[in-house]
Amino acid sequence: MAQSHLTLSELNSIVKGVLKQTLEKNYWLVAEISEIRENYSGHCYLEFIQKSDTNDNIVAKARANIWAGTYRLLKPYFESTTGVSLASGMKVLVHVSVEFHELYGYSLTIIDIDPAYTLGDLEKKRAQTILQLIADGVFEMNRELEMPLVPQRIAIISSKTAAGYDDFITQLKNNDYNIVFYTCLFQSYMQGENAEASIIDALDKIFQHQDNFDVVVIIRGGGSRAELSSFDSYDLSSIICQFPLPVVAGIGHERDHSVVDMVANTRVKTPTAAADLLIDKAAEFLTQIENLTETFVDFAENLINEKKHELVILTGQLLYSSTEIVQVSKGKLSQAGYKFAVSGSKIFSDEKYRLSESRNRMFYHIQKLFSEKLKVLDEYSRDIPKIINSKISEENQKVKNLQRIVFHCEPENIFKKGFSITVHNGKILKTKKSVKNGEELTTILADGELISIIKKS
Amino acid sequence: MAKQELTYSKAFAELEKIVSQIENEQVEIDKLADQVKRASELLSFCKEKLTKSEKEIANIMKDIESEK
Repeated sequence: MAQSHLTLSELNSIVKGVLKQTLEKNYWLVAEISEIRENYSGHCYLEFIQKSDTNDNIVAKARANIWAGTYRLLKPYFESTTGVSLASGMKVLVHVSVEFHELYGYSLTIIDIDPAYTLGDLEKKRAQTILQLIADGVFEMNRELEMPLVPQRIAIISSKTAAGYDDFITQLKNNDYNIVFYTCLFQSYMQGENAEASIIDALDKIFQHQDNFDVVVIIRGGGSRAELSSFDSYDLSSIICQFPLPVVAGIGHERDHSVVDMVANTRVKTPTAAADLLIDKAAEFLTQIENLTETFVDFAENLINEKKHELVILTGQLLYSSTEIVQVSKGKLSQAGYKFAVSGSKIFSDEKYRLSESRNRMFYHIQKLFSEKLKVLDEYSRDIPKIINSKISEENQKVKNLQRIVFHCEPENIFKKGFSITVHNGKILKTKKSVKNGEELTTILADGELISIIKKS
Repeated sequence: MAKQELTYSKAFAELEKIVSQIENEQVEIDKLADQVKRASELLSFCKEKLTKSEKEIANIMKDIESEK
């Protein structure tokens, strides 16, 4: 005989029946979402998993769904409580009814959710991540970086299509101080499964160009609350901690709660706030140098005025002292001059007097001398003719006498007396010894000559 | 980052030094003119760098953005 058998639908029906009978209507279940998607009709389809306590191996799996009607209510409820949207990787506490359908098999229908559990779980995970970062010694690192004096060159991690991005750029461009900012967009998914890897990738690229940037800004559209679990990621947070540039997180989270928010150098509520942060920093620098310069100019002006003033005082003092000195010297000089004049004139008059005395005496003596000499001369003048006359007569007499003698001695007169001159050989004969007998002699008489010969000598 | 930041902070530090010198009356009146000139140089350098776009930097940004 052939084995009795069932059809598949019959078997499935039996299973379905058994389950319905045995199981409770609903169960509260804790499971991790491994997949989640919404379809156009508003239903939400998920896959739940359970991972082993010791490792990442999946030990249980089940499909689940939230019908549109329920989802419409649960979704905002969940999001408003947790601040995040349902996302893969999240652990949730849900109220489910077990379904077994002949065609679709085993699945769970979610009718309610307790967001507090997820919140707690998220918190727990965050806390764990933070502890790990602290243990790694990196938790404070990015926060300890000093924002540069002028954060002018900005690396932006965002999506071109994100509303926040345009706001950020516009705010920067239209700042009140006309400060120039240089931006470079590192395009990235800011939500969804790919967000974490995408942002890490962007950070990596920025790292390679770190010398060209002053600061990193991560911005997301302000309104979106979806999928912030990426920002609780240990990997992403760790990279941000150790990033060499300060990271500004403007991921639009109402409650600054994600790990990235906590490790970033600065967190801001909106992209516009991020722009303002940078603008204010640069403007602060501008103001500071302007103030410094103003201070300097003030001091310089004061210094100059001070010196000018000193100079004026010194000049005044100089003038006063030099005038005084001149006055004193003038006084002394005129005093000396007066003394000099007085003594001088006394000396002069003394001298004058002495001179005139001397002159008088001299005149007197000269006169006396003159008169004495004159007297002598007078006497002489009287005596002189007398002496001369007597002298003359004396000489006359002498002359007369001499004349008589001469007269007598004149040859003619002597010749007349009978004397004659005998000449021998042209010479006047004075002795007989010079002649010899027979020699010629010439005898000169008054009236002529005679020539004779010696007969006897 | 290093190069640009050095410029701003260097300029700022120098300006601070000049100001503290004159505050402590360590500036001779003769050097004053030089200091004034230097201070104004530093100020205009910073202001220009802040408010005038530098082609070089802008081009670098463009290049990096188009890298991907």
